[in-house]
Amino acid sequence: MDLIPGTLDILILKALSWGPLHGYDIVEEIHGRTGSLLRVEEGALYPALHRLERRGLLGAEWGVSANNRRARFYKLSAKGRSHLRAETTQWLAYTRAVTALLQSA
Amino acid sequence: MGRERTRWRGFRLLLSRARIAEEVDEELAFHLDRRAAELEREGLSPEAAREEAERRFGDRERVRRECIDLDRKRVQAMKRREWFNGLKGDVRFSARSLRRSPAFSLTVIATLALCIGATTVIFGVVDGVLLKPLPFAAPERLVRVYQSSPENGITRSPVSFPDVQDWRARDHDFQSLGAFFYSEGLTGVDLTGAGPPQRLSAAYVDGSFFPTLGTSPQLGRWPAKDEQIPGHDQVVVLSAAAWRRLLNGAPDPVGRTLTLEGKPFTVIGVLPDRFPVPGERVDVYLPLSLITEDQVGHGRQSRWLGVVGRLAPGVDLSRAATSLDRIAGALAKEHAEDRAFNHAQLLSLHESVVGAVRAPLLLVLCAVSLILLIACVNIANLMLARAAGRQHELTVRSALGASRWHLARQLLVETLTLSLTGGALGVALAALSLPVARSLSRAMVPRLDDVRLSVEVLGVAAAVSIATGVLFALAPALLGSAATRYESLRAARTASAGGLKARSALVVAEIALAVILVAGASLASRSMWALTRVDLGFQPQGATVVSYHAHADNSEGIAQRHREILQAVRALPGVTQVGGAKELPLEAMGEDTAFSLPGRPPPAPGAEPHANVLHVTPAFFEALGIPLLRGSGFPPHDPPAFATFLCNETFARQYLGGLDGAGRSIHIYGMDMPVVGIVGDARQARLGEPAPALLYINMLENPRSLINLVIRGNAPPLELTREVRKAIASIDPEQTLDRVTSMEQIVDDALAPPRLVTVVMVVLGLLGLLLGAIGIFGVLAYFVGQRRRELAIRLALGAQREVLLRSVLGRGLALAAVGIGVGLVATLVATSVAGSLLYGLAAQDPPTLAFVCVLLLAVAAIASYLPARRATRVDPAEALRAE
Repeated sequence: MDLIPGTLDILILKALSWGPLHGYDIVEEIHGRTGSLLRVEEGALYPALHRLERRGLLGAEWGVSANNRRARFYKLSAKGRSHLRAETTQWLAYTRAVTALLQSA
Repeated sequence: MGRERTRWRGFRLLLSRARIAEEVDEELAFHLDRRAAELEREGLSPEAAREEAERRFGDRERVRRECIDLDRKRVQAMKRREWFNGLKGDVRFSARSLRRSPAFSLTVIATLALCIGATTVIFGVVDGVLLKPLPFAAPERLVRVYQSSPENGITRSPVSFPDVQDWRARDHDFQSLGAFFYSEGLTGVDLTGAGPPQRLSAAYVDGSFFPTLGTSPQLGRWPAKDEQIPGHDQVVVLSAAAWRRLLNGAPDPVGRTLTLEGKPFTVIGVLPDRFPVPGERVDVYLPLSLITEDQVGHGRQSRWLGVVGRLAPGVDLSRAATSLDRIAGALAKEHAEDRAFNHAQLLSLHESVVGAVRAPLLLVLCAVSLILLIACVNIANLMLARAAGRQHELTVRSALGASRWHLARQLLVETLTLSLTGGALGVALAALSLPVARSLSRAMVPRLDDVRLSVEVLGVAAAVSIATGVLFALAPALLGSAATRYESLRAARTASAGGLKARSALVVAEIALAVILVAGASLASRSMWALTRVDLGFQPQGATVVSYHAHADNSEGIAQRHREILQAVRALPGVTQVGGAKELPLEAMGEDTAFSLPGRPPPAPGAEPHANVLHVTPAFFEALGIPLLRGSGFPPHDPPAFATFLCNETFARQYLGGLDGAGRSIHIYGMDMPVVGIVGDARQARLGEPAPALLYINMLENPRSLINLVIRGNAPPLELTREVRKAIASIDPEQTLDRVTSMEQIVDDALAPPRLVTVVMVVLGLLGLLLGAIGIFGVLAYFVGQRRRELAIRLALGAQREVLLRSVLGRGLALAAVGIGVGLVATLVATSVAGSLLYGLAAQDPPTLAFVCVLLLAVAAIASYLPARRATRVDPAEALRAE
């Protein structure tokens, strides 16, 4: 499935909430954790990552990947963590309301 | 976590544009390689895998560009934040470092505050008076026009009515000409029916006056053309001040009626604030048509009008001046009355308003700027001495990794802190002093109301503060011992000889300047002191002055009015004496009249002796305390067709052969008239000038409308004036008073110009003294700093500390002596040029100059003491170890 516009950011943040990842692994993580339902458009990912980094929600470091290559790892910052919490609450409330409406006869 | 990240990221701030691009490329390449590898694992060929990976990625170029752009912005933001943090750190460091040397910091700040404050005040005055254009449309095209008569030595004469009309008709270099009639203190109208009667200062203007100037009234309108006709001209335009004073600034003054000279006048407009033409104290503007032929002749020989003009487009001042001059010459040939007044003079309107004060103001501005400049060099010197003492700290910081830029930036922050603080204090000082400056210069400097701390003035103050701060930071670099590097520590010692010489020369110059300024201040003060003790020839204490214009149909009526009022005032219980005069001492000079001495051959025309004739009442001399030396006072009545005269001592000595001449006659007004008495000399024109030859005539027999009553009494002044007002009102309730003041106030007003000069000179003198002291201090501090090693060796070898102290002191005093010498010479030269401005003492007044020398030596000694003491405190062991 394609992503609903505007949800990429929150997915990235959530993906990083379990630990630092580089861009490729973020795609795989989201794909994996959503039961292979959501595939992130790879062209959109990196601008989103850099945008989040600029906003201070992520931090970035060059590190070594699993196969010994230099990769840029992203990590959730404290600001990012609280942003994730707030957005999650809002998202859940929103979808609950929409779901309730759509499911009523 | 956070701090670690910040430090880690600190190093990454050095990312350049190229590096950012590199990193983005590497990141994207990593992703694509992983994707391609994954696809290969799923069975595609390497090329197909790569192709598919790229396809899935999307527009790689766009992504790349977007990421680079985002990163760049992020890095920029981070750099900005770090720069700010660095700045904050510098500010805190500077504050601490300045607090640790309070003497230095306070000296610098105080000096800057005083100098910047003084400069700001003077510049504020210059800006408001000289730089601000007049409040009219295209003010640079406005001119003031005069007639002139070179053969009579008159350059700026008023113009006659027919001449203005002819000029208008013939001259096409002017877009328009406007005429007005105004004489301060003389043209006025009585306002009645609105509270106590009062006299308003009036200017009479023709229909072109306001349109020529090109401005709009604040309220209402200007008089229309058909309101310049007798019978239709009872309209008045109020000045802004008069509107506020008379109508309390009521929002609807237009249409109201004011009773002027007994007739109703309709208010048709209110002028904008601060209207400078024709004068700053005009209350009301009335149509010129109100001046009738019998009040002032309208013939060609009667010159009473002031003229303003607006140049036609494309015409410049010199061209208009030439053409008008030609027309004036032509008119002089056509009309006999104009024969002598055959030239015209043009002056830009701005110049006519402020021209008189331009030179003195600019002179003072230059002086103050010079002082500021010297203060800056002084402070730079002090900075250097301080920097020399901070070598150790600087080298340690340098070794710890602070770049030259960082050290320089910190120094800049420090100097800017000092200079901006000094500047802010200076502006505060200026704001406080500006009202004082204004009140001191009132009546001497025009357009004072325009003087304030405007945006431009504050901008200049800010610019000066910033510039001085930058200058001080640059000083170490410019003055040659920018030793922030370790190795140049050693070099600094030997390279100092040239530096010391330059500094010493500078201090000598400062001391010389200080001598000139202090001498000027002392001479001005002593001159002022002498002026206040001058023998006036009359008694100003306890003399109240009440002035008014009497109105009557003929001169007999005027005399009658004066007599009645004098009688009524004299009858008051608290009054001991009352007299009156048209021309009071120190205010007016009387009527310049030619006369001759009977029994002598009549002198050639143009070579007759002249004397000023003053109009006084018989009791005037008694009331003012002028003694009657010989002869008698005025008889109660003059014989018919005769006038009796009194004269003053100077006149008697010059023309009557001394005090015994009482009773002799002079030939004046076409007849021989007796001079029945001689009175003492009283200063008439200026405090500083001895009385000229004066004649007195009885103004009750030769009436003049204006009279200044001089009243002496037992009651306190307020009570006295109240009683006098009541007495005058009892004679005529509609009688207006021009003013109520005292002779003491009049004498004080006469002292105002020299007072202003003295204050300015004293301020400059004190500043000069301060600078000289700081200069000596700075040079000696530098000297001691440079010679630490030598002093230490001398101490170690057993030299007495007192000897060292004396040697340093001696050096300071020697410098001062040289400076004083140079300064004295300069002072003697300067005062020989300006000696005429002083009263009561020779310009080269030895006691004053001696005082100046002693004062400066004392100041030099004090300023030398501190560095000298520091020299004796040098610890030999420590100083030698530091090498």
